[in-house]
Formats: sequence, structure tokens, C-alpha cells
Amino acid sequence: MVASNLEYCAETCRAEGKSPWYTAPHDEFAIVMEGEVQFEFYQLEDDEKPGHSAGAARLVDAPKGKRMGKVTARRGHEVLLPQGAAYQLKADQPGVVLFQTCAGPESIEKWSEICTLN
Amino acid sequence: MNTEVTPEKVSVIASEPDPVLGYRSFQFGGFKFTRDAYFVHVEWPKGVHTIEVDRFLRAMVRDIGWGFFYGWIFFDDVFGTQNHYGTVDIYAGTYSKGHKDTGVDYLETFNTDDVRVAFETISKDWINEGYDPLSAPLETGSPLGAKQQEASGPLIRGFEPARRMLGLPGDVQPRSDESGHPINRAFADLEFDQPDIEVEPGFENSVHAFNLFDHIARADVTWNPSFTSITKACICCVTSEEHMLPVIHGNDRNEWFIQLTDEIHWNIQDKNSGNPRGRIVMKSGDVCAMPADIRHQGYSPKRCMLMVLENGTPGLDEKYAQGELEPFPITASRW
Repeated sequence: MVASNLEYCAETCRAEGKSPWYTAPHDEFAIVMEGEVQFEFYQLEDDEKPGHSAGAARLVDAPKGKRMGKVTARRGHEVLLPQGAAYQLKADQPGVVLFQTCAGPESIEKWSEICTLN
Repeated sequence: MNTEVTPEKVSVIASEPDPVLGYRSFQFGGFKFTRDAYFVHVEWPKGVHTIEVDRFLRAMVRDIGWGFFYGWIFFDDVFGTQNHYGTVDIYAGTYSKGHKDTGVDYLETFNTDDVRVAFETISKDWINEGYDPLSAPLETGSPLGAKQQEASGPLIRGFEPARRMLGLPGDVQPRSDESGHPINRAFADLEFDQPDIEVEPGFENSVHAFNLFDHIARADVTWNPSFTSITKACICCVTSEEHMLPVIHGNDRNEWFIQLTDEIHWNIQDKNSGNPRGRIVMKSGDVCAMPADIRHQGYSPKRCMLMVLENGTPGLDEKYAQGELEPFPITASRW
């Protein structure tokens, strides 16, 4: 987490290799800040949909629903991570992604490590 | 200011044009606005204040276009507006210690629509063809001198917000050559391409991406956030910045800045007193919170790209004002 505004936040990740599958009960947005990242999207079956209230949650298994599509994004591109869909990131080379989302089960806070103090 | 009483309707009253310079003066409530070749003079029952005309007009048209934005819009350390989301305060000296101590401060509350009409009327009379207060100074002409032909273009532009995400079917579309927005000179060294999108049938409204940096690089306005993606009440605004933010923004809630390119130098002051709180130079990749108890003004030596994250939850301003929420976003327990 790099920005926090009550329940809302911005999070960033190093994208390298293949990520787990994630989903959120609301739209999220991803901006590729460096590198090239593929986003794969699948629809979730009803019994796969998580019950948490906000933020990204990791799926235990790969999604079973219909394939929705794929986006290959590079620096400056913004990608919709639609509500209720499962998504996976893949990057052959290290990249950086910035997420606009809500605080949730996968959020990690390290303020004392990342903040610059005068 | 009593936010529960609806103010009476107030109309702006225009004078006859000045016989020498051609500009009208305007009376709005207890405030009188007059301009000459170089300056705007703001009068109120207890005092008068002078602001350089370019500074004043740059602040005024943004105040209009932003819908008076979140919280306080200081045109300078003396004069400005505060948004109460249905009403607007116009104040002079209310947040200036010297003016308060000497008892010459003044504040009046108006209906939002009345202020918008008044400011639009003033701006249209005072802005000449060839001068665009929404452009960077290097990109436009001068506001100085006598009245010429009034500017013919729209008073405000570039404020149309996305409802969910730019570029989605039925939503606002990103800027393009076709929409009359070429890449700005300052970003000519960047490369812009489009994401590769594969959509299975039936998911056209769900699988979407666009080049955000390209959209920002095509902005023909500065210091003018445009909503690009919204989830619940979390609003992402992006903006192209050059020269100085023509207002000092007093927050009524936390907001976060993410510097996408180049750099901005920020002066941070205590919101109520104006006392210096700090100075931050943000460079590409830097992230900074602007707490709810400060005012800030930015200086961008070269046109740059800035992302701002806002929390648009209704009623949030009251929670901060009444102390229900800490003014800064990261409390000790999360450190």
C-alpha cells in the first residue's frame, strides 16, 4: 500500500512471472508504470465468488467460468479490473503496476519502511 | 457560517463599462470586483485587497470549472472561496491572521449557483481574445491592458469527468487527435502506443484499457484534474501541470498525489493560520499525502503529469471539521 484514504488505497507491486488469481467485489484499476504486463480475465461461477467486502482477495484455485479476454499493457496504460472477475498478471520481465482499489485481505502496509522522514 | 440556512438568491450587478479601459465592475453581495490594466481590486465592507489580474483570472476560471472543488480555494493568502456543497463562502481575510487580528476580515455565504453565475459573468467580461487562463503562460497571450474583444471560446473546458473509466462504451472518451487534442510540446519525447486488447464476445464493457499517459499528454489545460477512473467513492484524477497552481488549495479531506513524470515543488501551510508547515519536491514515482488540515500550492518548472486520488464520500468534510477523523491519513498505530 502506498496511499491510504480511509477505506480506499493505492497499492503497487513488482510484476514478474505469473501471479495468483485475484478478484474484488468492486472495480479496480491497474496502471503499468514500467515494463509489459499481461492481464488475463475470467468470469467467476457463483460458487467461486468470494464473500469479502472490499479489496483484492486471492482465489484458492484457477477460475472455472468463461474466459473474458486479455489485455497486454505497457508503461502508461491503465487497465480495468472489473468487479467480480478473476484476473491474473503475467510479466516475462520485471515490471511495476500501480493499483487503485480498496484496502483488503491482500493489502500490506509498511509505512515505517517506505516513508521518508525529514 | 450556518450551513443549514439556505441563503437568499443574490444576483451579480454589473456597472457600465469603464470609459477608459472598457471593463465593467461587479457588485455581488458585500463584495465589489473591479479590474484595471494590471490588477483586480476586491472590496468588502471592511477592506480592500489587490491581486494581479492573471493570478485572479487563472484562479477564478478553475474555481468555476472545479465546481468550487473540495474545501478552500485561496486565490491568494487573503481572498478565496470555501465549498459547502450547495452553498459557497466567499471570504476576505478570514484565514489571514493579520486581517483577523485587526478585525477587517469578511465572509459571506451564497448559493452555489449564484456564485457560479457571478464568477462566470465577471470572467467573461474580463477575459480578452488571445488570453487563455487555462493554458500555461508560455502557451497564451497576456491578460493585461484595456478591454479588447471578449474571448470567444468556452469559458471552461476539460472538466468532463468519467463516470466509471475513460474510454468505456458510453463513458467519456480519452483525448485524441480527432478530438482536437494533439500531444503537448512538453511530452514530444515520449512514446505513446495503445494496449493490446482481446475481448471475448459479450464482455466488451468489462475488458478495457487505454493509454492514460497519452490522455494526459494531450491536455490543453493545466492544473485541471479530470476524473479517469472511479470505484465506489474513490476518484482518480489526472492532470497536466505547468508553471504554478494558480490557487492555494485548502483541503477539507485527505488527498494523495502520485508524481507520474518530472517534478513539482509544493509549499505546504497550516490551513487556518497560513503558517509554513513544510516544503516537498516530488519527483517521478514519488507519493505524498496532503492532509485535511493544510493548504498547498505547487510549482512545476516543466510540464509534468500528476495523479491525484480523492475520497468523494459525501459528508466527509464535516467529519474532518468536527474532529471525528484525524487530519492525516497514517496514524501512529499503522506506522
